Amino acid sequence: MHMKGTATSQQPPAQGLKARLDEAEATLRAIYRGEVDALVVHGPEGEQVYTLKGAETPYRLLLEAMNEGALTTSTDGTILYCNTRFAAMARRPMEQIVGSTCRPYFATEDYAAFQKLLKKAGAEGAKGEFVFKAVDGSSLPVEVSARGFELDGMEGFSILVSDVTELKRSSAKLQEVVGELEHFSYTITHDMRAPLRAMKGFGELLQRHYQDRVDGEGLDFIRRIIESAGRMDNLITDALNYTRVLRQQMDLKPVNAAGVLRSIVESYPQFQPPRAEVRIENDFPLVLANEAGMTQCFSNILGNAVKFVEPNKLPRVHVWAETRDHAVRFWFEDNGIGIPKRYHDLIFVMFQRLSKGYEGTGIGLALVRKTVERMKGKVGVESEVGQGSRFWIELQRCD
Amino acid sequence: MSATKASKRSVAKIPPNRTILYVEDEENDIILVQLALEEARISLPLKTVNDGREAVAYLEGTGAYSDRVQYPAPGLVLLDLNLPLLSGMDVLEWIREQPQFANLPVVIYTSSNHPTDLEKARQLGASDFVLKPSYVHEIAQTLQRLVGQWLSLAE
Repeated sequence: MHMKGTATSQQPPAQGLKARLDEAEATLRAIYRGEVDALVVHGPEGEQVYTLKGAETPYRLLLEAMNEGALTTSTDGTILYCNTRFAAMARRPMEQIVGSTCRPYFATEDYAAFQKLLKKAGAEGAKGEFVFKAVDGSSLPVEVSARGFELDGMEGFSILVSDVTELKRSSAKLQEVVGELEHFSYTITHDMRAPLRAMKGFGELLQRHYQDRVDGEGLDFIRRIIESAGRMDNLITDALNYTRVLRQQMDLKPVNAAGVLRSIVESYPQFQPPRAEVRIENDFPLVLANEAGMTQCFSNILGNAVKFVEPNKLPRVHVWAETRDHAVRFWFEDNGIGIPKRYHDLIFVMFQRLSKGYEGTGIGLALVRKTVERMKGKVGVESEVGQGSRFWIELQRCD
Repeated sequence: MSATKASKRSVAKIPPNRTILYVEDEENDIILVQLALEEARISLPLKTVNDGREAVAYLEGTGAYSDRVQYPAPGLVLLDLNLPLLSGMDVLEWIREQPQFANLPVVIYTSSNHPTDLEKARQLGASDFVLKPSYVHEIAQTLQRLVGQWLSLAE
């Protein structure tokens, strides 16, 4: 096992910190379990090998070399040992720390939570976030991981205290940047729609009120302008919906899928005769889902099922449910053009459009996959060219 | 539907509270709404202002809008959200703070279908929330419905 200070230097600070913490924990765990026979420590004199045969020195050395505060306490909370890093964090000489308690380093509520953490730590260990107070009044955000131990009849805790200031700062910064980007993309997509509305609106007026003054070719140009503006508008709507799915909270509740399906079919003439036949089976178990998310997914799948059909053929869709262990799989079988096997994964990727002759933005199925994943479900397809497709969405069953 | 009835009236006979105030900074949208009103044969007067502050001034009847013959108090407000100077939400909030406008129908007329906007508008007391349609025939249908729903009470 290597403990090299340079190993993580190329990573961003937050990740580096996290990695170091994980490594230190893994090392300690390995030592507890007796999995480690020797340690290689990267020091000023190069790499040095320490064996762990009953010697306390290498443990000490390891703990002192760590960038995390380390403590051992008795069950009543008396500090038996602390490393240099902990003393530095506490801004107090080590000899004053050993023999005292952890009380001075926490605010009152935090100390109660810290004691709770120790109580549930046991041999498995437990983690929590706290504000660590140094004795000079300064404070740090820390992650504390504690683990109970028993040695020669004496019980206690070993505790790691990790300064997560950098982690917090980077994640706050990241959050801010994400927020700005979201706002930016929302504003830009929103503002892009105003000119499109004008193109569609005035285009329609030209088409209706000036058709006797424009020749056939001119009318074709107008139609192309309107259709292109419409396509752009759909693209923006889908892109907005997609980003919304990414960031919106999705509460899962028991949902009756049959009800959702029926109301979709009732709301859209494209799913009704004479334009299509959608047959929904009766027996649908309750699933855990978000109703808005489910509506979005089902209408996209149904929309594709009736869209990708040869011209002059009546689209027929059959929907049924199949119970599988703790999940319910909803099947959507269509009589459409089908999808070659090699594209079955690709169709769920953003902006991948396979069929030239059909209108689409290339976002619909990517949106379905993202939404289904956020509902802790899965989506897939079985299909052959010319033999229709069977799309499925699997969601958690309500027990 | 009251829109059909309204269309038979002449402008002069329409009481002041039959005016529609449209708050919109996008000129194209204003023209489309005007054309849609014609198409729907709704002959109610449409007054437009281009930003949030003007909307407040119009409603208060102050400044350039003090002449209530030329600028009658509206019976329905169509309010865009994305406005210069004072946003649509700010205007809505201001309207609901004025006791005399407690029952004035204010319809949010926007291209934003963002759930947060919808929720906020509802909390601030919007009467309705309508997504701007693109085609004039759709705008005409929308206006017909809004006028029927929100101006019929004033008859």
